[in-house]
Amino acid sequence: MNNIYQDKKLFKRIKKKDRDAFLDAYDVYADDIYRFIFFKIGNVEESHDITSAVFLKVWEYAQSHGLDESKSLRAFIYKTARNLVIDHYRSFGGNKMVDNSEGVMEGLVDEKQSPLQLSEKISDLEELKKCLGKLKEEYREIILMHFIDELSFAEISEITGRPIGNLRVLSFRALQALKELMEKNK
Amino acid sequence: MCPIRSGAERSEKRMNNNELLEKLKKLKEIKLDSGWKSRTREVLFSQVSNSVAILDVPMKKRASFWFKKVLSFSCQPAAIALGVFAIFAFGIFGAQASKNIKPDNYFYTARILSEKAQLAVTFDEEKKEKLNVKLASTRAKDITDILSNTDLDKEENKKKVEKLAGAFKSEINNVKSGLENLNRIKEEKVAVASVEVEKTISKDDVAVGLGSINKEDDSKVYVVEADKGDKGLEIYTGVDVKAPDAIVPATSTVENLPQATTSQSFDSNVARLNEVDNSFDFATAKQILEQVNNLIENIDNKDVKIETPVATSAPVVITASTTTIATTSTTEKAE
Repeated sequence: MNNIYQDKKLFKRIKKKDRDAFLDAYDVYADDIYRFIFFKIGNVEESHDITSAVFLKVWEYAQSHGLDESKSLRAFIYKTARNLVIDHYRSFGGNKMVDNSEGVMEGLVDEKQSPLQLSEKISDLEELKKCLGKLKEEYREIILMHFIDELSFAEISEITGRPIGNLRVLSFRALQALKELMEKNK
Repeated sequence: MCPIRSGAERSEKRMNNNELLEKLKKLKEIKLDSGWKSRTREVLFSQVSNSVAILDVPMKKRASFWFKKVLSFSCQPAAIALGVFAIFAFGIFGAQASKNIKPDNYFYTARILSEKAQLAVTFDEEKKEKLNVKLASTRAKDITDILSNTDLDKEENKKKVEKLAGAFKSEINNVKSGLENLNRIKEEKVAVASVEVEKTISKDDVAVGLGSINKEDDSKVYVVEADKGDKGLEIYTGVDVKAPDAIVPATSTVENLPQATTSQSFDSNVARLNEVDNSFDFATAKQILEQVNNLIENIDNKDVKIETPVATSAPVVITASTTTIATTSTTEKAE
């Protein structure tokens, strides 16, 4: 449902202290935010904690400060998540992704898939996860936001504060770097 | 030289990119555990509901809610006690802290207010008067300190000096009236105490006397002055029951000396202050004010006590023939 119109509508409702709108936003963005956090810090438990903290923070901020309607709700939630991850890095010293992903693949079990398909999928994802962990923080971030979560460059610019042109170049380089890593691993 | 790529190579590269992007898209399948997600949803919903419950209430209602809360808290005995304690503590410590503030300081008004607060929480009339005299004399002393300063002789300070002199005069008047009031209170207190002593003694002695008379109509009644000796006395003069007036001076002793001294000191200080008031002799004024302060402090430590030794445990022995009342008295101090 990632269309701009619906995002704006939710944003407006949250500003009016509509709890249902907030819960709708949670339903829509919780998985994306969790994944974004998980690929940044690499720990399932901590990702859970930060995810819930992100949503609570968004609600509190929306109530106390009000939100600028011109910004997108999704960008705002990502920005909050990014800031909380930075806080997490500060408290634990360093921005390296620590691989403690036990239980992260639990959600991938699909009864329709054969065991072979499932194991193939899991091995692909494990490989990607490993390579992403080796990438530079800024490359990893843009891959997560642009190629996985499909955020526009405008939204990413809003979140990171980087110019859009810079982000285009960065995304290209990030993809090349990931590809190289994956080829090396083969 | 840039290598020339064939169409097959380029399509392989593009495919690789597409492949990679496809793989990346697959990462979207990493999702939150549905159980955790629904649990967290509930937790968030309850937290958000609580915050909305507070935020949704209009300002007026919120204000009245807090007003009611504060009111209900302040009606509790503990809260009242705490409030009273805070007022006392502020009055006392505030006055202590502001003691050193001189009249030329910006915070002098605060000191006056604090002293007034201290006076307001003193309910005993005598203590209040003592405190009043003490505070007035301290203020007058502070003014004399400033007026003794030679810098004030300059022309530009003329108004300031006039103002301070006026303040000094009014403070001296306060001290004088305070001393007079204090003197009056003391005298009243002593008078009341004497009357009480008379009443006590007359009740005891007359009771004994009358009791004896009723029992023995024809007998002679003798009243013995209790402090003439600890042993019983037999007097055969055969006189009527003596009036209590005769007994009082002997059986009761008021601590006359300190009272008299205090009273004299008050009077002499008032007289001296009158002189100072007219002459503006600040050195003498300071000296007198110090004496007044000492006097007040001494009264605080050694208050006038009324000691009333009265006749107690008086075994009455009535002998049939002589009808003599032998009163064995022991003088004890009654508090």
